[in-house]
Amino acid sequence: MSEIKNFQEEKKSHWQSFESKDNKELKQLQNQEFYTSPDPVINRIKTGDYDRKTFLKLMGASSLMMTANCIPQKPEKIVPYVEKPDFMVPGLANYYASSCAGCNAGCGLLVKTKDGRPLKLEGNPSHPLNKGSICATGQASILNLYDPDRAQSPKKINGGMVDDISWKDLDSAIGKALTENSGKTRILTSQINSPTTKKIIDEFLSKVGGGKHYQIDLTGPEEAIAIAADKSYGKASVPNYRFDKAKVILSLDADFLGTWISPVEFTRQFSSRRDLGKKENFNTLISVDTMPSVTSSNAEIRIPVRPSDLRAVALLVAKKISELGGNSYGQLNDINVDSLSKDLEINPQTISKVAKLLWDARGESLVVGGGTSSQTEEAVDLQIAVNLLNSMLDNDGKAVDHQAGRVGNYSSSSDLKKLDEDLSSGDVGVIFLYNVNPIYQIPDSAGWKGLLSKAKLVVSLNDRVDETTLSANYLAPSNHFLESWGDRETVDGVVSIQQPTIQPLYPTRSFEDSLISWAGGEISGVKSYYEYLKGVYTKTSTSGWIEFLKTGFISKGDLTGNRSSRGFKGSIEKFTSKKDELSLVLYTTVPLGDGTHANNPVLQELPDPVTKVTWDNFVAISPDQAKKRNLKSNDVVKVTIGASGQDITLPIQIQPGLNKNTIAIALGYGRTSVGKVGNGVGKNSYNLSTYSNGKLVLSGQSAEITGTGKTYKLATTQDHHMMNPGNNPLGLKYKDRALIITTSLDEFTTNPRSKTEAADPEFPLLNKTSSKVKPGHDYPVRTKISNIDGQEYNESRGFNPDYDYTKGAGYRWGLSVDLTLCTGCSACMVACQVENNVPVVGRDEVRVGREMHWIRIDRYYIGDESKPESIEIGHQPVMCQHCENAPCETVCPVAATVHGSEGTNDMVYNRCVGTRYCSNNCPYKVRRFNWMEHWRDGKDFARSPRQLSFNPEVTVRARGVMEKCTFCSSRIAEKKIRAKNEGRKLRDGELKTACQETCPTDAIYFGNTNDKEATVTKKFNDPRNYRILDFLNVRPQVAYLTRVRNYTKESV
Amino acid sequence: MSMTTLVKEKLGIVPLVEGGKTYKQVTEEILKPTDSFPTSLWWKAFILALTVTIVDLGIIGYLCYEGLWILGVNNPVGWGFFIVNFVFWIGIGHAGTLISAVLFLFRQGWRTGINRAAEAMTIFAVLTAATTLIIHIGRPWLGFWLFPYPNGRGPMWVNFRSPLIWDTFAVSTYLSISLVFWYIGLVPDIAALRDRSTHKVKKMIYSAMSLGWVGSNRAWSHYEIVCMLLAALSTPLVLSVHTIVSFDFAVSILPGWHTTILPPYFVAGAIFSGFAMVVTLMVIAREVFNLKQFITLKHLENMNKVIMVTGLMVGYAYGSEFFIAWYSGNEYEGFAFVNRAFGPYAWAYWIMISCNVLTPQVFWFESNRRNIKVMFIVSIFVNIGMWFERFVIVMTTHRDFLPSNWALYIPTFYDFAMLIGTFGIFFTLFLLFCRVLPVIAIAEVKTVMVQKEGVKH
Repeated sequence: MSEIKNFQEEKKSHWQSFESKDNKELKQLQNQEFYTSPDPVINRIKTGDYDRKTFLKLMGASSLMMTANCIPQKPEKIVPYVEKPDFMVPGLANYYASSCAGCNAGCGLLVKTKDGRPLKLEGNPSHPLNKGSICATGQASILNLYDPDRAQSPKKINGGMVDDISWKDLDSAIGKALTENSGKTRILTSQINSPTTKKIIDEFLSKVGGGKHYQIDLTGPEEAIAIAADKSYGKASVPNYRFDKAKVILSLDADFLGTWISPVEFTRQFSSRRDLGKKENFNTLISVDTMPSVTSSNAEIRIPVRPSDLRAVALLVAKKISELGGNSYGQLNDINVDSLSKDLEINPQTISKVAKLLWDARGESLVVGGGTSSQTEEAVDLQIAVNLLNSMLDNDGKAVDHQAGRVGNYSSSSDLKKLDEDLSSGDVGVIFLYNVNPIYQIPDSAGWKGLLSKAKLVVSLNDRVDETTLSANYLAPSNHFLESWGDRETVDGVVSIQQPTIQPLYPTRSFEDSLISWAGGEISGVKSYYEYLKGVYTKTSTSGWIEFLKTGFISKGDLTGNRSSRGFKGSIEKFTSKKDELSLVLYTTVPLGDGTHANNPVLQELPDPVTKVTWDNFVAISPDQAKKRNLKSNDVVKVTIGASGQDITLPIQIQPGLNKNTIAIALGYGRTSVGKVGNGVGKNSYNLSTYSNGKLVLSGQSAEITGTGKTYKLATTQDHHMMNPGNNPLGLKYKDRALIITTSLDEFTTNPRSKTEAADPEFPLLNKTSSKVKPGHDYPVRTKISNIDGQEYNESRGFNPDYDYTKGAGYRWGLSVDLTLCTGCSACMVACQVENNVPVVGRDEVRVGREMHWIRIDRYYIGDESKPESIEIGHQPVMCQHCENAPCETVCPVAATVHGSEGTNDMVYNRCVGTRYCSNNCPYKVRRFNWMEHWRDGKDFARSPRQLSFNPEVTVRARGVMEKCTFCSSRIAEKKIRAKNEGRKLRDGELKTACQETCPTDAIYFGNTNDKEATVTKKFNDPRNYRILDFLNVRPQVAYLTRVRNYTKESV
Repeated sequence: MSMTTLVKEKLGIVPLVEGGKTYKQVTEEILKPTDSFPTSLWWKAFILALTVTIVDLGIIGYLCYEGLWILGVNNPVGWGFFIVNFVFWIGIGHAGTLISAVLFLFRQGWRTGINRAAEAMTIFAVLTAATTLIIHIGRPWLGFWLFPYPNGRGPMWVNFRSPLIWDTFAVSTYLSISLVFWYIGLVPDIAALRDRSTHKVKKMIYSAMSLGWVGSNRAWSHYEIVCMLLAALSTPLVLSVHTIVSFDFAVSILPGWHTTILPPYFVAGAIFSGFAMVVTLMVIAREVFNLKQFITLKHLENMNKVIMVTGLMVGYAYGSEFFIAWYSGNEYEGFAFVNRAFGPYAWAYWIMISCNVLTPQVFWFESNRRNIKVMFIVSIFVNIGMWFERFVIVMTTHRDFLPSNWALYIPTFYDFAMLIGTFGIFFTLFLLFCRVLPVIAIAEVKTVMVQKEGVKH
């Protein structure tokens, strides 16, 4: 054996062959950075050194390639059903009754499906809770189904690395872990309001040798209400509230029209008492709030306070009521109204007035309180004060329905506390997490991540690889609720079905089916959750099950009757006011809620009803504080929590209506692992909360802000203007523009036309009095109106002498918006967006003012600019006004926007060249231009499979064309065809626009104004009727009804 | 200038062409740039202009590919820099037509020195304006839909009620008439070029372009009549084109746009800005091409007088607009104007006022009217001011009826690039024109020359 030499050490030169050694060209090539051996053919082409044969070869190859590219695309064939299912007519929609899982309210749904695809959610009109309406979140939740960022297969997660695995491997791994850790299983879920799911969880736990099921809800008010009920009445329960039974409502920061417990149900009840046909029933809402909300927008009296003072206001009112004769149950002795109200800087007269209003309506009033923004250390004490007030006012058992109450296991904090103990003792085998995201919600400083890792195996059943799933070992992705079976009981006695409307889009599995597989493939002898659920409801009768599927719900209990009152036996803790300079409020917004739906682009772009900010959270600060600290909107500040030292850096927005000692930040933002849309939008303000004993203290902490000198432009859809367009150095004063016309109930009673004349300042000049106007309500109207061509306006012809709207089919569409009823909840905006394929444009485009919403809700602050705390907030939905004398139509050079035969203003997309003259000339600025190809695949908001959610009846607009509200022309066509086939005219109310259908207050009415009996015609003839910018003589076919508020004499 | 010449000039007996040249000298001097190698100054200017144009064309391509979102236009402000540029350039064009047509009909001899260049400016300005108009629409490839042509869609006609259709007609008529007028005027001069050319290709091109001009009496008499007819045809265009452009705004219903003053105000503004542009160009041209004896101080002074008069008219319009807005009692109108002067775009408004109303006041003094430096600066200021006037008008939509819609327009890089680009296109064309065609109408200038003993020819 020869000696092994180390050539490297000997520094001998390395070479390949004799030839290459002295080849300069090769050396040069070798020294190049990207050296590859030169292809002989290409090299020859480069040097021009090729022979005739090579040339012919190349020619042949290239011509072959060229011809090969020209092979026509294979035609696709559309195959009809060989055996068509009875219920399926291609192109016609089927509706399935289901229920909404967007939040815990459990509204009944009708799911519109077409050719097997769910396309739109509508409220189930016969459902006793929501009665045909759903909220913005509900409307948008269909888009979560088509979310490309949902987990598309089961995953194995190892230290942040996510790998796909098969269900088989997942099931065997979990099965093994379950047998190894028998009896130590934990299931952590959100509030489960499905009785059958609860049942199957219990059965599952007993099959795997025992374990515990914990339910948490870190932001809802229910737990505090339940604990307070226990302390006040001896039994933990959450009552349901009957706002329809209350004439006077005091809300202590409960945003029941926006985000609190069951907003749609409550909005329906609330608005039922705002019917001006029954003026004596008209309710009064007093809102004591920390952050202006939808509820405070609709209040007659608003008291902005800091979160820690809410209870004091309750106690002050209670004390005043006791002075008026209310039973104080031996409490309130240490309350001194004068000194306390001075301490809180609240006018004691306001308190007296509120107390008087409530006391006068005793037995017919309601006090509600609590919520995310008032989830302070004293959350339970606040609820006890609320209970005291309700008992004093004799509301318990009436508007506070403690029998048909809200269902749920409301012990979130004790559940979570127990879980923490289990985890820290290392006593947890397999932990299943379903529909919860504690790692996102619990502040990092609480160290919950470390706690979770003490479990032997962590299995997430969420629908995506979210923050919590990243700390799990496996993800067994659950279906969207439109893909799975289920039931839901949110109010005692009202059970709703949840029907799947599509096969799961991805290989995902419902939570319950997963449990069945892990329990050995069957539970109670059945192998699927569908059979299990069906078994539960067919126990009594099979027809019952079919009926259940058809109606969508079973309502057993009495939801309207009065109950006996419970005796109040709680005790009121002493109140000491905190004198923080700045008190923090963490609140949930209508669009984003607690952050679950953060990957939903429509919700991210839905402007908050009050702040009108999209795509970010921010620090809301009062104008006083901003002035004091020399801050402007969009300045970036650092908010530091005194106690915990946690901080967050966010831009500020100056928010009128906020208490001057309060700053507010929205929750639900700053997700880091929710998907491409929601990741990194805003900052996670949960980190500012304090976590202890299974509970988050969100609000009421002392905070300090420091400027950073940076700015960040928030994407708002509206600037912050009062109705009055501001000051000028010339000192010229301008009247408020008559857009939202507000009048008081008293004024309305004496003059139903009160203030509507403000909408048309030119009317009095023309000075023609109509004989139809009642004496005493003299109101000059024009009798002769003509357009620019001198053609006179005629009721049946409009301005066109050659066309009669009453001839032929005789339809002429009109829409009425009742501003007395509209709460500003924004459900219509999302409904419209889903119905009409309206694109989402993203933060940058909203910043420059290019949002595409066909219907928007204008928010105006009403009141004295110099007293920003006392402002009122008005909402006004504005969509295309379908002017009879439309300014857009005359200016379009290519006649792409024209007048329809039924009085609508139509847009011809494929004729539009995009001059945008129509939009400039639109006084309402409701036209929306496609500045870019919004639906180009690959954009974050348009990634596949989002296109599956398109409404096939509505054109998807291309870049460079104008679009706008069409009065849901596709719906008009659909219903008209049906009526025609049945040989009749459309009935009033048969046809609803998307915005109208979902409106929880029925503020929007659409119909045929040629029909004298139609509701919309009646609304048009209502004395409250007015049209915005009427003096322009554009004759809009959308009219508004004045906003009537039940101001008591003193408050006007 | 000596006192005697000034007096002579005042009395109208001073020659419009200085230096006591012969006809041959005139022809030689004016045509010199066309047959000598361009100066380095020309090359520098041309390369700069061409570079800007090429970049601009690239950006136009990118704009067509990406869509209008790269610009600053948004929902309340649907028209931004592009329409500002459009109105600005169309306005510039008006001076050319005024000089060549109206002054022709009024037999203003001094116009001959500047009319050719002014007409060329008109054509290039209108071309530039038309380009901006086409690319500002959402689907520029369908821009031809604005023309009423027979088609297979019904036929689908344009909406004759839309001011944009009037615009289409106005601008295309303007362009075609100006082009014909300019070209007819050029024919004798091209013939002169043809006769002088030695290069074969050059000669061939000029021969074709001169339409066989022989300079016979018959030809001259036809020529004179055609010129007069075309001048008569163009004259109403001076008033109508910018009137129609103003209709884009005046016919709308927006406060601040919907005003009857706009047509005269726009026409005055157009002449104002156009003359300022002519002064800018002439001052440069007479320096660069050494044409000081053809474009004399008298020419420039006359133009400065026009600038001052139209400037006063524009100033009057600004005041009157404000007054009517207040006097009408219309709250929306009133607010729109107060907002112009004190709102977010107040800076633009005050730039406009100071450039358009205050600066031309220096021309009250003869010394300023005849001072090249002063007039050059003033003309630049007027150009800036007139651009801002259109900016102020277009920005009106940012605050209209419903305060909820109010938003600002913030131009992007591309807006500015395209603004600069329009100047690139304009100057590229203008510099090419200076190279290949006579910048002064030789035939016409000879008619106003004073030969030797002051005998008019």
